[in-house]
Amino acid sequence: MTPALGYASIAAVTVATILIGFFGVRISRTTSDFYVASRTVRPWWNASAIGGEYLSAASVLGIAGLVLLQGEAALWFPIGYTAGYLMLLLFVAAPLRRSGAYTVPDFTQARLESRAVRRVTSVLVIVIGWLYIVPQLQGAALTVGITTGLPRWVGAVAVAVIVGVVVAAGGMRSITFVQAFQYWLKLTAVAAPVVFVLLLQPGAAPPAAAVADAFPPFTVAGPEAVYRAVSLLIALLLGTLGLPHVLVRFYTNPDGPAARRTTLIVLCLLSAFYLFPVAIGMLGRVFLPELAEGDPDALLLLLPAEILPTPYAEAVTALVIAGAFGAFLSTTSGLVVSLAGVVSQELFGGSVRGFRIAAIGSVVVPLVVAGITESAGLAGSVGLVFAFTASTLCPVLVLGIWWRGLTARGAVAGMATGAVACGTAILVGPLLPTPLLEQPAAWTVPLAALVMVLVSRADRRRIPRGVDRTLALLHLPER
Amino acid sequence: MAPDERPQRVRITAPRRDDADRRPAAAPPGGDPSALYVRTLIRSQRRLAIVCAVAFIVVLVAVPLAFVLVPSLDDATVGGIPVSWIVLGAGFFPVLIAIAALYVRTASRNEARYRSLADDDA
Repeated sequence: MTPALGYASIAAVTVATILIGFFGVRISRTTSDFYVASRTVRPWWNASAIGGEYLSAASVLGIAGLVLLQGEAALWFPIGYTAGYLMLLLFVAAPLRRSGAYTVPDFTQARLESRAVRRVTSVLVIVIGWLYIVPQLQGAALTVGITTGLPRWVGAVAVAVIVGVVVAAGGMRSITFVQAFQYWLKLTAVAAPVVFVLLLQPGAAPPAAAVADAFPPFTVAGPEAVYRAVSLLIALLLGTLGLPHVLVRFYTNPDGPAARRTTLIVLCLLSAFYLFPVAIGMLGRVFLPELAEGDPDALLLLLPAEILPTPYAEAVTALVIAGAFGAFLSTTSGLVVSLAGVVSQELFGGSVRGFRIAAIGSVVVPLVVAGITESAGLAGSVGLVFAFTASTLCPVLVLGIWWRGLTARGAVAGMATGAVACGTAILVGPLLPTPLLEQPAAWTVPLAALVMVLVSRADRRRIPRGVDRTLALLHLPER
Repeated sequence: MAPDERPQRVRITAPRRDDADRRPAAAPPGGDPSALYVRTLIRSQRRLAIVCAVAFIVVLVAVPLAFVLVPSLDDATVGGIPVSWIVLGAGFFPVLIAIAALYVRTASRNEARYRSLADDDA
């Protein structure tokens, strides 16, 4: 691959992001006012923005790589990543919007009437954000390394510096407009290689034997494989419920029904998106199987040059690099903005200076972690973050919204149990590779929920006084 | 809008199974009808959400199970690719969207029912 192409694409998307970030603040004020006026358009914009923020390195690069590496077992990832939004729709979307809470800590404090719960939730949101930024930086390192030939750390440092500086300077706010644009950029980037292959039909059709080799029929490798798949699906289905940068977006819906409509559109947008990484992974199994030994996560970046004829190959590669780099920038900045908001509120009383310090801290910590850990496959490490979210924030949100009996002590005990159990599994898993530690969600999520229920039951006298009023606020339709 | 028909519907949405569990925590405060309507709404929304989630999980389990129990299903191929690849790669998305769309409609209907009950009462 020619480094010039890599430099040009990365520079273009960076400059575009910074420019839209700074000037978009002014533009978006008028455009969002414009869209508030016509509610039929608004959920679409909001849904695109959620898609733009959600589709991270794991989705853009990781899934194609995993399909190449693992074959059919990897197809559960896109199903889980999308079905998470069904669970979000069913259990969280409308009530959370009606609560009026901007962040998860705001919600738990309002629901359980306790500062202590707020503090515990804030710590968890910060840890989840950090864990989620790490694979973004590792994806950036991979992309920059492969497309420009520079040392890999340059990519991680570049994304961290760009996002840290832009967010701290007040440029990149959570602008619906910018994040919505990012969804369509990413969709174009993953769709382009597939569409061009279908249109141009380059080269001879691969021999039938090669295809049969690439796509073995459905098999189950034994009980361990079943446990892994079930545990992964639990993590992905329930982990989405607590992602801080996604939940913030629900606040921008005008009311509960709009939050539901938005989530329904997100499901459609994600379903359309995930067809393409899967197709790319399948193309890779036929045309580039040897990459499984090296960097499977780089499949999307390398495939166009491998199978498309020359003028198209360069154009599609440039688009793919731009889309991938855009994914790291948008997801990371979405996370940093929501993290910095929580940190500055907790530690600095919500001052602007505090927000800036928090923004820098929110990228420096993951950068250090990304530097000292090896990337274990992008989709896999993001899967672990989902397991952690599912074991901590998911139970407190679902029980808080649907169960009158939840108490502050129960919530803290459950979240602490889930965090310790799942955190230990994530830390010890690489040293002691057993399925129970490598895919912990199947036992840590029920454990956290059970502790939350039992401690709340024992603590029944301390059910928050305003519980009936709060629950009515969460569930009653707006006038 | 016949107001005399409304109370009938409240009875339909009261889950018999849940009553034993929940009665101690949620004793009706002085028979306040609006509080009763709120609890009924929350209960029917909760049941709807659980039914939809279970429906999806049933599909999620049934599909791989079908391929395990009847391996000959996978003899069918599309362009040389076994159908299980196509089903797992693309087939779940329409199911997800259909369940989500049904949920959005029914949840809004539950809210409309609550609203007309509360309005009739006031």
